[in-house]
Amino acid sequence: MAEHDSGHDDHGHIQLEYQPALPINNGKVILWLFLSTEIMFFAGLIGTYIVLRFGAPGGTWPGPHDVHVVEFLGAFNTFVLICSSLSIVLAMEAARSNKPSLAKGWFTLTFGLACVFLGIKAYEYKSKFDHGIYPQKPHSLIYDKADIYYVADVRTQLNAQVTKWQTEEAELATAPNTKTQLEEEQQTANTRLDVLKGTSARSEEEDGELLQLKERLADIKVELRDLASKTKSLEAGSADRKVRLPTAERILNDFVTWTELTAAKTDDWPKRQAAMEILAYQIYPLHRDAHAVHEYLRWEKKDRDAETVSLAAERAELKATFPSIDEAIDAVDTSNTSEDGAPLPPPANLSPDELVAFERVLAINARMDQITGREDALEDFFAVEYNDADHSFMHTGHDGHAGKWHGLNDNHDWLKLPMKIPSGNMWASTYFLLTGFHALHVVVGLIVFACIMPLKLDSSRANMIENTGLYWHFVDLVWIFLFPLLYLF
Amino acid sequence: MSHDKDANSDHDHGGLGKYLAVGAALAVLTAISFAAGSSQTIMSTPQLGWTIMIAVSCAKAMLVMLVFMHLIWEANWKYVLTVPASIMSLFLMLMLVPDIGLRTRNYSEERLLRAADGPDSQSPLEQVAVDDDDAQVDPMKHD
Repeated sequence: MAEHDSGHDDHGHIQLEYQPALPINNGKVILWLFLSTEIMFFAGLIGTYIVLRFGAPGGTWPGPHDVHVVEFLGAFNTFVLICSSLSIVLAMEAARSNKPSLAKGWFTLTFGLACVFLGIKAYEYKSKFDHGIYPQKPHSLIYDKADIYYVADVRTQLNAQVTKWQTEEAELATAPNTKTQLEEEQQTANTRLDVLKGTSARSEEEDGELLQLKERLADIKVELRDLASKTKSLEAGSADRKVRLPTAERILNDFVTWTELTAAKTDDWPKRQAAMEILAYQIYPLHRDAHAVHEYLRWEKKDRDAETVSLAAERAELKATFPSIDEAIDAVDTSNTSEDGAPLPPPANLSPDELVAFERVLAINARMDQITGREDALEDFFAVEYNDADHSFMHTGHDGHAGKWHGLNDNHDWLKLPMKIPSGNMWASTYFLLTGFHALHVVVGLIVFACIMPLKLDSSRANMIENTGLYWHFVDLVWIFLFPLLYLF
Repeated sequence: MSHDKDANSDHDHGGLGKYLAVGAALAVLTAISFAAGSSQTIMSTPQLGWTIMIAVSCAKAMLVMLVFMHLIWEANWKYVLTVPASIMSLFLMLMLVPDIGLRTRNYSEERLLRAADGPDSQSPLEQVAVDDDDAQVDPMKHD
């Protein structure tokens, strides 16, 4: 449609001007067509995310701090992309006014800013991977809820770790022995070899033996070398293992086993759930759980106290009824402390009734030990103080330094225990999908930039830069929506 | 819009000042949504915070599209390429709402517990009356 209003002598006819195509260059048409498919693609992704996020049951969607999202980094990245959008538009303006070196400067700045964006993104991804937040098993440590499967997995992982360290320590302990054996064998073989070599006329068997000895000696050499390097690496990890093993074993006994027993013993399902929630909180505390977990610990404390009182009373009664079992119990106590592995046979001089009482007292003692262990562990590992003001547990470490309770996983970075993050798996899937597709677009942008940068960016290239800019602005546009949705909602 | 004008239109718009102003506006808008998202006061009514942030994002998107992507100076073809795509993506989202977005609305309590739980939503606390006489007991303390 053109110039119909300027022509007054057209007899009332509108003169239409035929245009063979859109009034823009072909590259731009194609890019806009591509961008409209991209709009659908990303709007679909973002829309799906919104629907999943708000459809998550009962406000369970993890907050930024539950999943190690740092809002500031997101905001900074937004700023970086805005600056890059600005710089590419300035590059286009410079090219259009035929200032190639200025255009190249802006273009290079755009390229650099895109690299900064990707660098921050990579850092953010790594901090999530380090915490076991992956979109998918087997690396993901995320559980949606604290149930028996969760507790079972905690035990499996911890057991595997402990067993591995124990095996390594055992290997390290036997390494000198193995070495001596191999060296002795080597010596014997060498002696025999010398004898055989000294023999001028060897029989056929002796020739065979000579060959075998040589082979064996070569093997021994390799074995010795392997042993030396293995011992070296085992020794390097030994100091860490010596610190970690007792901690891991304590967590296994006083947290995991305790939870299993508590959950198994009670028919009261809220209490069963409470025990598992406490464990989940100890491993990976979610701020919103703090208040509830405090209540659960109150229940547990009440139950523990009641059990201690009733057990002590029962034990006192048993001892009063069967005074003769005292001696046998003392014997068991001392043998336990002397670390005699095998259980003692029950004393022969007890009557059947006394024997029953004796075993009951032993069981009571074992249970009392468990309770004391649990209380000590809570004291040592977990919060000693609950801050009513902000419903958080304050953690007082061994150095007396008070800080927020960060959970066993954070306090011991070698522990990679499963974490309870409600809707965490869905969160991880959507987060990595959205940011991943966006990052992929940034990478594509970088490649395009890298192809254009060596060219002379004068006015003949202005359209090329404009089209590249259109794509890049779209990438910025997507991030403008992703930033609040992923970091701030 | 004449042919001549189109051919020359590249020189009629844009300008350093305009771009810088838009860039500054985008930075300020980002700061606003960051402040809104980090503000305890605003996020205590999350719907308010979400509305602010989405409104800010839409404003930023419009600025980028209209000025940086030059749509404000383009002919009407811009509507053909952007509007249908936007409407279709909106439809996609709306179609997901009943089956996915509202999937947990009519869950029974058991089913919710099997979906995902937290003390927040399905607290065993709600099932058992807590004896308030012991409210002052410190769970960590033992004799």
